[in-house]
Amino acid sequence: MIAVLICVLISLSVADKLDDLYPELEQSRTIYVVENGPQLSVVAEQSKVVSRRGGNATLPCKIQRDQSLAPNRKMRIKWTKLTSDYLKEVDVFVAMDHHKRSYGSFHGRVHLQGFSPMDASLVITEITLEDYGRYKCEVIDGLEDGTVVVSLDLEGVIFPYFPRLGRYNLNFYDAERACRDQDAIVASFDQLYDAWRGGMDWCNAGWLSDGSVQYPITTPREPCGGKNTVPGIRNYGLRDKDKNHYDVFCFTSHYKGRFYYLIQPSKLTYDEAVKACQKDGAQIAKVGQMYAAWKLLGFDRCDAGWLADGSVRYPISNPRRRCSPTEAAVRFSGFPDKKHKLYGVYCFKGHD
Amino acid sequence: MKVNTCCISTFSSSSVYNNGAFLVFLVYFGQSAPHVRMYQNNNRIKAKINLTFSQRDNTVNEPGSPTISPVSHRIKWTHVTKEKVTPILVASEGKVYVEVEYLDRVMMVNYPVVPTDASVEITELRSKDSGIYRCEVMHGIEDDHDSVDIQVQGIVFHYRAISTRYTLTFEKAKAACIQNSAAIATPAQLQAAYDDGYHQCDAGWLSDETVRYPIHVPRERCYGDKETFPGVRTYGVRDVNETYDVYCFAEKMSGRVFYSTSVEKFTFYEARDQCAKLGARLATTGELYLAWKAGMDVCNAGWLSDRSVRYPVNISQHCSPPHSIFTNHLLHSCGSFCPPLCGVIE
Repeated sequence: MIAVLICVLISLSVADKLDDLYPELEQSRTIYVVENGPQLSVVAEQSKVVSRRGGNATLPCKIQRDQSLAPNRKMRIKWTKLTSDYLKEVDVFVAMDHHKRSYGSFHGRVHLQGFSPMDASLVITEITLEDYGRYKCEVIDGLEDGTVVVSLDLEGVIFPYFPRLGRYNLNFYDAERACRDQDAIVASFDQLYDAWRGGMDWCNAGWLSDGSVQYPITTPREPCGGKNTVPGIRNYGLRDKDKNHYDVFCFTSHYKGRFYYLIQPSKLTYDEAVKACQKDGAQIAKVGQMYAAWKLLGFDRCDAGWLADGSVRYPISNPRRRCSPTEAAVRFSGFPDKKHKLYGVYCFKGHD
Repeated sequence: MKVNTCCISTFSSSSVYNNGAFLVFLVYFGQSAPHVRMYQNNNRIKAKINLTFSQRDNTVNEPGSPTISPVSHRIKWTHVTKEKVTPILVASEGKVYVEVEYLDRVMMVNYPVVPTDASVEITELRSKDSGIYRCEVMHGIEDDHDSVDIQVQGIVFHYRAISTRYTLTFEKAKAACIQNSAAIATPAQLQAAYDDGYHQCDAGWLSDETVRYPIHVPRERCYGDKETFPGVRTYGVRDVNETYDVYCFAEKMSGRVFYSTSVEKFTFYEARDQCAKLGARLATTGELYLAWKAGMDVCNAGWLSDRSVRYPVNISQHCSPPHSIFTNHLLHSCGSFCPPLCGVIE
C-alpha cells in the first residue's frame, strides 16, 4: 500500500511539473482525434524468404507513406519473432533515428538493409536452425503504425527420430534434447507438411515444435489411422509436454564441415568407431549430419556404419538391389549391441 | 541521457465482468521502482503498473541540450483474441486517437493531465469484449507491454409468463426474473446485449421502470419510436401496474444443467421427481440461458422449473435456427410430456 501511495505521489509531482511545462494541458484534457484512414502502410514484397543454416537472409519490409506529408524525422522500426503462443513475441531488433539495438541470440547478426529511409528490411547473417519462423516488422510514425509478417524458411531435411531407449520414450523436453544431440531442432508443422507433400510416410507419432503430436501418411493403412481414410497428416493435437511420450520429428539444414565414411581394414565395435574418428581428427557423425549429407549433397554409401547415438545407418541416394531397392533413403539397422564388431563408421569434421 | 522503460507485469491475470458493466484499466508509470497492483471491486478493475525511467548510462545532460519531452512516449491499447488483434487507441504527445469501433465507449482516465497514467475506461461491456487487453508503452527505442485477461459474463434474455404475452406488472416482472435465477435487466445491460446482436420484438420491463425492446431489423409492428432505424426501442417510464414481458439478466450459476434422456414421457410433476431422483432439481430458464451461452446443444425440448418447455440450440441445424433457445412449447412434439432439463449444484 505504501508503494502505491508513493506511486500516486510521484504521479502527482510529475503532473505538477507538467503544469509548468504545459500550462494549456489542464484545460485541454484529452483531445480525441479521428483521422481519415491510415496514411502509413507497411508491405513486404515477398511473404516468405528461403535461406539455409550458416547463410544470410533479407526479410523485406517497405514503408509507404502519403506523399503529401512532410518527411518524418523519427520513424521507429521494430522487428520481433512470433512464437506458437500468440501472446508472446521475441525481440529481435529496434531502430529509431540513430539509436539501434539487437537482442539475445540476434545480437551482432542483424541490421537494417537501409537502401532508403523507407526501407525497413532486416538482414540476418549466420543463420541458425532456431532462426526459422515468422517475423513481424512494425513501423511506428507518431500516432500511426503498421505491421507486416514475413516467414524465414530454411532449406533442409526432416527426419523421424527415437533414441536407443526405443519407441515412444520422449516427452517434449526430451525430444528437444534428442534433436539437438543429433545436430537438429524439433521440426515445425509446416516443415512436416512440406515433407508429406514430398511423399513422406511414417507411421509413428512424433512431437512437433508447437507441442502437437502428428505423423504423415501418404499410403493409408489400417494401423495408421485407418485403411479407408484419405492421405494426410494424422494429428493427436496438443499433448502434455511433461507426461506424454512419443517419438520426434527433427529438422536440420546445411552444415559447415565434411561428412564421410571412414575406410578401415576391419569392422568396428561402437567404442572403436568413436576412437577411429578421433584418430582421423574428426568425431563420430550425428544422425542429423547423415540426413543432411544424404538429402542436400546426394551422399550415397552402401556400408552400415555407427553413428554417435549408437545407431547403425547408411545413406542411399541411388536405389539399388541389396542396398535400398525401391527408394532413396537413410536406411536404419537399429541400435545393435555396442560390442558387436560388425559395422563401419561415419565421421564428421567441422570447419570452424 | 537515455530513457529506459522497464518491467511491467500484472498482479493478477484474470477477471470477470458483467455484460453492460464497465471496466477501468489504470496504468501508471512514474520515476519509481517497478511496482504493480490490481484492484477489483464490484464492476471496476484497477491495474496500476509502473514503468521505470532510469538512466542507462552515466552520461549527464549537457547544459542547454534538448530534454526529452515527458509526453513524448506513446501508449497503445489493443484487444487481442486468438482470431485477431484489434487496436483500441493510441496516445502520444497529448493526443489520443481512438478507433471508430470504440469511439463512444473508451476514454483515457487521466491522460494527458497525468501523462504517465495510461489508464483507460471502457463502458457498455458486451460479451464480445472478452479477451486479452494489452497496453504497450514506448519511449524512443525503449518499449514494454503488459496484458490482462477479461471475461465478460452474463446474458440478457426475454421472459414472459407461460400463460400469455404481456401479463407482468413491474413487481411481477422483477419476481419472475428472480424465480429464474436472474435479476431484472438494466438499460445498460439491454443496450450491451443489443450491441452483441440481440433482437426481440417484445416490449419488456427494465430495472428503471421503463419498457423497451432491441431491434436490429425493423419491421412493421416493431418500428416503435425509431421507425426504420435499428436500435433499442423505448416506451419510456411506464405506470408500474401496466403489464408487459420482462428482460432479465442472468449473471452466473454455480452448478450445471443437464438433459435427462429417457424413452419415457414425463408430465411436469414426473419430470420434477425425475430430477430429484438424479440428485438434482429442474433447471430454471435463467440457468438454461447461461448453459446455452456456454455452448449447450440439445435437440429435444425439456421441462423447466417455471413449467415452460425449451431446448438450447447452438449447432444442430435441423432443430430450429442455430444459436437460439427454442421456447414455443405448444408446437413441440413431446407436448406436455417432455423429459426434464435438470440443474445440479456442484
